[in-house]
Amino acid sequence: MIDRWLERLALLGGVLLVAVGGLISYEVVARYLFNAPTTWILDVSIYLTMWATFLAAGHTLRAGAHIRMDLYVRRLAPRVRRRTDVIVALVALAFSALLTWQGLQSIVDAVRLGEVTLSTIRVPLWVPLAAIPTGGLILVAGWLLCLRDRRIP
Amino acid sequence: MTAALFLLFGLLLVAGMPVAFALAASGFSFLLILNGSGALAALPTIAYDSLNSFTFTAIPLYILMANVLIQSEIGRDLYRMIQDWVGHWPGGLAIATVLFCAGFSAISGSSVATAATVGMLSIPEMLRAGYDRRFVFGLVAAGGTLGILIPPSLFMILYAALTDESAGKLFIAGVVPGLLLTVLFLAYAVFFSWRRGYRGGERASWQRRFTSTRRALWGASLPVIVVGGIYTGAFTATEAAAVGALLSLVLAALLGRLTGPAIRQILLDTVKTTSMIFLIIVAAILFGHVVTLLKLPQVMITALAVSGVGPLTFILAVCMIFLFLGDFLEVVSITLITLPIIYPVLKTMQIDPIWFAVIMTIMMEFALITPPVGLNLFVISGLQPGTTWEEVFRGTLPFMILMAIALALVIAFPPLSTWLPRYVR
Repeated sequence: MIDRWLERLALLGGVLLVAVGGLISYEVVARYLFNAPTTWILDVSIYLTMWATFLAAGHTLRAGAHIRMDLYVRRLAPRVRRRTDVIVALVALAFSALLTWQGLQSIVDAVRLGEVTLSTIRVPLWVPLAAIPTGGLILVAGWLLCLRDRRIP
Repeated sequence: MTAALFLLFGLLLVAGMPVAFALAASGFSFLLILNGSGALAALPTIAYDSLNSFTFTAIPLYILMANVLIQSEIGRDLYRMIQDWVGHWPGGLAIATVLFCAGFSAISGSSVATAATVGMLSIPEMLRAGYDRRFVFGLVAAGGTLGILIPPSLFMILYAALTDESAGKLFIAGVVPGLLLTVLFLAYAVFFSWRRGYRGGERASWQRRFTSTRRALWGASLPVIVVGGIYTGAFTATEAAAVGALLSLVLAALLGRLTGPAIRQILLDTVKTTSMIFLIIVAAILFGHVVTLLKLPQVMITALAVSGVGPLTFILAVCMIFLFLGDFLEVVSITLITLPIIYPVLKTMQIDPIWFAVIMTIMMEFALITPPVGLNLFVISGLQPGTTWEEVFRGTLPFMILMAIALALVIAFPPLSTWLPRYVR
């Protein structure tokens, strides 16, 4: 069930990436045809890419798309392997939880101080920054599922 | 302290933790020890800043373009065309495979995607035609590494993002060395096939050649637009990626190959690879942060200055380090951890950073086919049931010699990589 949701979030991330392709292509057209380069596409592309990365983080983990050295763990006895996977998942879970918590803190600060991005368009900083705790939370979900299965895909 | 950092990282890696998380967890633990609670507040800032780069946005776009071309079977069209032209020569399938590797490298910036696409199509055919298994696996695993040398190249984008170099110039710098390596692979394929007496297939009729060429021409025109646009200065490397991705989508739609399941697969594959690479980027920058705090770069640079080595010795030493790191790290983490340290040294030693980028690319190609973390080895062994990565690795050994020859030529004759980029506008 949760895996389905993680996949949907990843699909949304994929759509954002296609949108980035469209936006930057539009920028090329705007520059050559209309002789009117935009000021906002560059930054918006970066933010969309960030969001895509973090939205898809859970599905990437669950689909086994991460690069890892499974050469040694594959040779372990199934029981030992399960135990190793659980320990690894716990460490990664702790890090993901910390990322979520600290990300939330930084959003609270950004909102309180009314920070904006250091770029040509002045977007409230929390808009791109929110990708980080969102991604952290998605990763927490992903790693919890790995703990449930006692297996890293 | 530095040794402990790498030890912890190695331990997590061996325990099977994904590279991105192993880098992040070990890097962050040491940041906590060094900076105390300041490390906590720095975590989201580091993550945000490391992805805040327009050059990086080119990475998902090149991945998107390659995935569209794979899902819409435009890659297959290209392979058929090449086969119809050279398939009847002795060893024709091997020749077609090398040419397809080079051709697909011009579409894809990833060596893993190139090896996977070429392997999926050509390995079963070559095995059926009775080619030696090890030779087949080695050919595709090594041929696939051309992906990061022939433009576009995800490695060169990383290099550009971390230094002041232009991604366009770096792309173009890979053209001549890429062709050189292709010719070396071709020569070996012909030699091996001749010695084993491999015969060619049936000669394709002119009618068939014409049809398959016309079908593949659209797909083949994409890299020309991308690389040509960069060369003439019409687009930046990131813009070329966006235009290429969009054109490939339009092309696939016009050919009627953009079905629902294909779109879904394209979106998921693109975003998964992007997420994987970008999380490694974030984690490697965090890890690199700690390496810098431990003053490793200063120590290395001072040691170099005191020892008084020349540029050539330096390059050879760095190549050795890459060869060592390439055994257990993949390309993105090696680049993000080492390049910020090495780049300032290049400047002080007056080594041309574009020339060095090509040398480093070839070293990264080695990293892709050396175990235990040689991605191409796993991709190829995963394609063919009952194949172990050891078998693939043994197959790549002769090709590694060819890569070493190409590396020696690139080092000995810098104009091979620096002449063409001079004309990029």
